[in-house]
Amino acid sequence: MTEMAAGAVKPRKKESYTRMVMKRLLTNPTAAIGLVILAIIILVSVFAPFLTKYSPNDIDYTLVYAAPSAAHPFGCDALGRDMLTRLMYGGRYSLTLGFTAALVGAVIGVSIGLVAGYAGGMTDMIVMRIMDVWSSIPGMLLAILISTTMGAGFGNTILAMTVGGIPGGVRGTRAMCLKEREMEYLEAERAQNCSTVRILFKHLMPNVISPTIVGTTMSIGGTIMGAAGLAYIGLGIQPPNPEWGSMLSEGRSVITTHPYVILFPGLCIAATVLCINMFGDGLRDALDPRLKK
Amino acid sequence: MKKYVLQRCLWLIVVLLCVGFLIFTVMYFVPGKPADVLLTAEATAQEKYEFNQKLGVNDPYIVQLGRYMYNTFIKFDFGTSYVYRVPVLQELNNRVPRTLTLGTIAIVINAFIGIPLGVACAMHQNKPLDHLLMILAMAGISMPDFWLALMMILLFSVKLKWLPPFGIGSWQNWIMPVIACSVQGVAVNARQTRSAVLETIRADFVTTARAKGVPEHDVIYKHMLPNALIPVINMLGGAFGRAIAGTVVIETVFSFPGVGVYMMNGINGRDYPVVRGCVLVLAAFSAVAVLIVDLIYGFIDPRIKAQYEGGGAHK
Repeated sequence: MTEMAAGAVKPRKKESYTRMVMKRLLTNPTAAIGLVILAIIILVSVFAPFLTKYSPNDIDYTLVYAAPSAAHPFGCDALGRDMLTRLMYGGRYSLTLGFTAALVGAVIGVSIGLVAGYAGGMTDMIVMRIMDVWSSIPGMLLAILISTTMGAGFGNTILAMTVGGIPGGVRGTRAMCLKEREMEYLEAERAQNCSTVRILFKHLMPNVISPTIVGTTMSIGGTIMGAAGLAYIGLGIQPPNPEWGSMLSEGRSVITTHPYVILFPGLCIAATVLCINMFGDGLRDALDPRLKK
Repeated sequence: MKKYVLQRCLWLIVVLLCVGFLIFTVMYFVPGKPADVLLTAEATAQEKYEFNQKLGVNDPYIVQLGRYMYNTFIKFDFGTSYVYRVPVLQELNNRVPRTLTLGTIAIVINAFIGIPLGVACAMHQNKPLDHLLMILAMAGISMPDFWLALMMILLFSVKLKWLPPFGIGSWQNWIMPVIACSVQGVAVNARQTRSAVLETIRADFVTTARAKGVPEHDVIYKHMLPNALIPVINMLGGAFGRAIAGTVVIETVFSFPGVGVYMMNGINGRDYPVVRGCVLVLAAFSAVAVLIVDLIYGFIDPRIKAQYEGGGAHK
């Protein structure tokens, strides 16, 4: 709070808030570490072709289940493909998928939730009844159903993971709106003849979004894990694509003899999700206007 | 409040009907007819047609939908498995208790371990206990549950030989599936609870309570926690649904003979009645959990209660 008062005569509120958020975010060690490692993971997966001399689908039968060595630090899989290379390329699938599905789901969910929670009455009832039906099929189950119908694959996995995430955002945002609805500041906005869109997204949203941010952050991680789960049971991204979940699926039959084949893809998922969650936690702390140090 | 309860219960029936409709509609568009999978490659088009005709999958959508809804919701007949020729309901009778037990144990562990941990963290905010528990919770939510399951099999079954890796013979078979199903829920719950309690700690009514000299114990247990736990209870309903859906993948890892494995067999074998029955049953449990949570929510949140008692029942 102190940095606001110092210096500037009368800083515009919006600027100082944004600056405050950025400052809090970057000075939070957990968030910073998460962001840096996540950036490294993203860079490695983007520049994978320059970082490794193998291709993810190079088959070499002399190297079947080769143990980790200098040439192949993480060993080789059932077809003698270099594990490290496959892991590096694998990040592309999981990251794109996780971010796209979670963000699209959150934007749709929060928007619907805001409208329902603020409008109340009939709108709220109809929306929430639809969400009742929607969310009574748990996300993972819905994803399995959609993947079964649409077929496995990258685009369909994104669709499957997005659809399941929407009711959560709606419910969370709407529940917060219910508490916030009767607040005086909204009354004041209405008295000033503020447009509804402005009230919803400029005034109401910042006050109801902090739990949703935690939720959305976790849903990025959750989406990555869900997609890996789908791939594991054979409904997500298919082999030979080097997706982490499908690598786990390919490796499960040799769990007793070659444990590293399933150890490393899982560690990659966990590390990525962990970094996203660490960053998200920092973001939550930074965004919460009511935070007191 | 009676009206609220009645309304919610009636809605459960509507929800289940809608879920049935949704499941049928989505499954209707699955490419490939049963004959393509169940008959041998030598079968002629005529044989395939007759096979499909016997199963009724050549009828128009609306006829099939009507028959499905009538059989499922009026006659409680979920159809017969195309592959095993066993009524789906009969098979579900054996399997549902296992999956339901797994999900219920998981949610009980979530609530009774996750919530107290979250409260403890919030009470000791930024102290070593808080940091330690939050690091553990962070690790918990970041680990794919099915990978944790695989790692447990590797450690406890392959290396140490303490626990059986699959099946359902004895109580030891349940240990790893239960842990795999509940770790994420506990971690999520602890984090959400902590976050909810911290929001409340800063609330004005807590300051007011302290200012007027309410003993600290009462501030926490009478003023703060009841308010903080409202959103947490709301989340438990969804958590149950997630636990139930999560069992599908976990059951696959442990070859645990529950609804999930049955459903996966159904998906792989184009066994529509099996898939429909499994999804409907899992969704029904999830819907009931949400209903229970909504009822509790209505009773404990005075703001919602007031809406219904202050003449606003029709809103």
